[in-house]
Amino acid sequence: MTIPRRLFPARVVVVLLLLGAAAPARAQRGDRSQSAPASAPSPVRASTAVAPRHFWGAFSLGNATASLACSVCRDVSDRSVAAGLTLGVRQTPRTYLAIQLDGWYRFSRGENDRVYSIGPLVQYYPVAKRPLFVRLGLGWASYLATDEDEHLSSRSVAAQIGAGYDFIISRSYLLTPFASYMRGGGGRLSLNGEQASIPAGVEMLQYGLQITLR
Amino acid sequence: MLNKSHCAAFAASALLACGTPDYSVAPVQPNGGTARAYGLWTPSVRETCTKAQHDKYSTVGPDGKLYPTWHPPTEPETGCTFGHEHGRDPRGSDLYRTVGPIPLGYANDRLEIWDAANPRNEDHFGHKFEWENDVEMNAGSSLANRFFDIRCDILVKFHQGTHSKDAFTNNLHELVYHIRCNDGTELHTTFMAAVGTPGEFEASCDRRRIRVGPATPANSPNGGGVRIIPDVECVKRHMMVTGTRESNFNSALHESWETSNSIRTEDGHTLAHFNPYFQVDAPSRYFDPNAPNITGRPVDMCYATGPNGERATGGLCQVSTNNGATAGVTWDDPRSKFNGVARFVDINSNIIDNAKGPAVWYTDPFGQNAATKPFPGSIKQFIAPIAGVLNPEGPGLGGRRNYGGIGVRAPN
Repeated sequence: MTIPRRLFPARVVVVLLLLGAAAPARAQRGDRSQSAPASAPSPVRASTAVAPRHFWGAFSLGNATASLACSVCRDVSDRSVAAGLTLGVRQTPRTYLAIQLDGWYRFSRGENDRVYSIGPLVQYYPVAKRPLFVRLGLGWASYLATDEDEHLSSRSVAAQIGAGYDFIISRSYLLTPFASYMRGGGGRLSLNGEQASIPAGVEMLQYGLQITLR
Repeated sequence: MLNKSHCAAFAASALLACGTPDYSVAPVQPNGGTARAYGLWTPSVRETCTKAQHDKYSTVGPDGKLYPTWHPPTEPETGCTFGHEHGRDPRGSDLYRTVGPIPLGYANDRLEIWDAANPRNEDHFGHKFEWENDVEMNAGSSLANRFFDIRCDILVKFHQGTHSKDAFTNNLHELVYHIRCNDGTELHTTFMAAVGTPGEFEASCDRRRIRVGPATPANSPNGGGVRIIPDVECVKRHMMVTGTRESNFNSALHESWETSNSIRTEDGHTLAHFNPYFQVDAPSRYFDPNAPNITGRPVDMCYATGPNGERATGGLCQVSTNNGATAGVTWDDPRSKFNGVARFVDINSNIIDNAKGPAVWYTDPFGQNAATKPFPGSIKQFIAPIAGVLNPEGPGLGGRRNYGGIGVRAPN
């Protein structure tokens, strides 16, 4: 489905931020019946010394609107399924480092579009005892489009910003609704193997749910 | 309003030199000379403007000579008539700020320097302008069109005379082609376009090849493309009808000059290729080997009766002669709508292969032998230093416009 860019994903991010600021206790309430996972932020955890490093991983699934961005690109974006895989380490109780691999895929009437991105990111909990985090990343992103006869590709550096809110669902697992925005630019654009003299990049707005293992 | 003042022309050129960083018209000092194309027009008894009123529409060319340039069909100040038109006023084009007034016949003058023994002189009437801003282009494929919105400003001037026998044999016609697109495609070119084969053309109704005679100049090069012009067989077949049928004037008379233009270096590398097709719906002539000057006049057929009672009826004959009821409308009468006014241009493809640059080249008057330094008779061309991948293709321009005005008539 091809849709003009709208404000909907921005509203999602605002709602997440408001939830995180207004009701941290709700996320914590669910933990009282079980011991909090070693890596979940908590009032007790935040006042202790820095915990030993732990590996963590996450898988996300959701929706994203993606588009090719360039000076002559049409101002339309397509919404379809997106998924991601994140592997990293906990640097401090509030700072997590990781490598993230993201993908987006759309297929319609013989047209096949994909976005791939990979790069390091930092996930940071700005307020102790709050499960709200922000995420910043910088990596590579590619847009690939094919139909029956032709193929188009773009590859560029891309920056990412996002936010999420952890819900503890067990000792080791978190359920996290999240949203993120990625924008690349200045990259190579090629059509049928020939490089065009037009710098381009990927733009993607993503939201979904993430299962985190810590 | 353009005027004859050399100072005004010089100032305008200087102002326009401030154009885009990559292409600009450098100010030119008038040298007091006049081009061969200047002063060609003289009013007939039908025109009310004077020669002086007409010749004040002039500009200084890159060689310092005075050339004619675009003017309206009537003078705005007095309303006097020139009897002919040059198409769309180029001052509305966004490219006009960059390219300035276009000197008519500049490439012809350069040819006379480059090859003095073989000049090509064209009349004043046939210079026709067309332009459009922000034209939506085809990016060449469904995939490319899905992603890219290519827009171009286009300004063209082509000499396309449709009142005489000239184009039956002569395939060299001045073409000025300006295009600038948001994907980086940009061309500013002037040259003598070789349209099809010298000495012959193809009949418009069935594409028969009609060999007429030697071209002028005799060494005219063979060009890509083709000149498609009506002949007497087309007129008889589609214009002269029986019973209640109406004449099909489009099938009988439509002309299409399909150009195929390449700017090439000395070693044969094609820097740019573009192929606009120039179409005319109602020319004032067709090829008839048995007519005076081998030139038949469509309006005369409005009065004719064929051996089986065929007549030309409806459409242009209705408007021009009331299906023959209005006597005495000759081919050069303003009442005749067979006057070359209805035109359009199919822009078609634009391909650039100039990644290594430079942007400025000097070619011979045919757009060939491009070099980085000028030489006698050379013409400066601008080709964006890119290797185009999207190669925008343009639509038809001007089909909905009518450039006729009070007093406009063939020759036009």
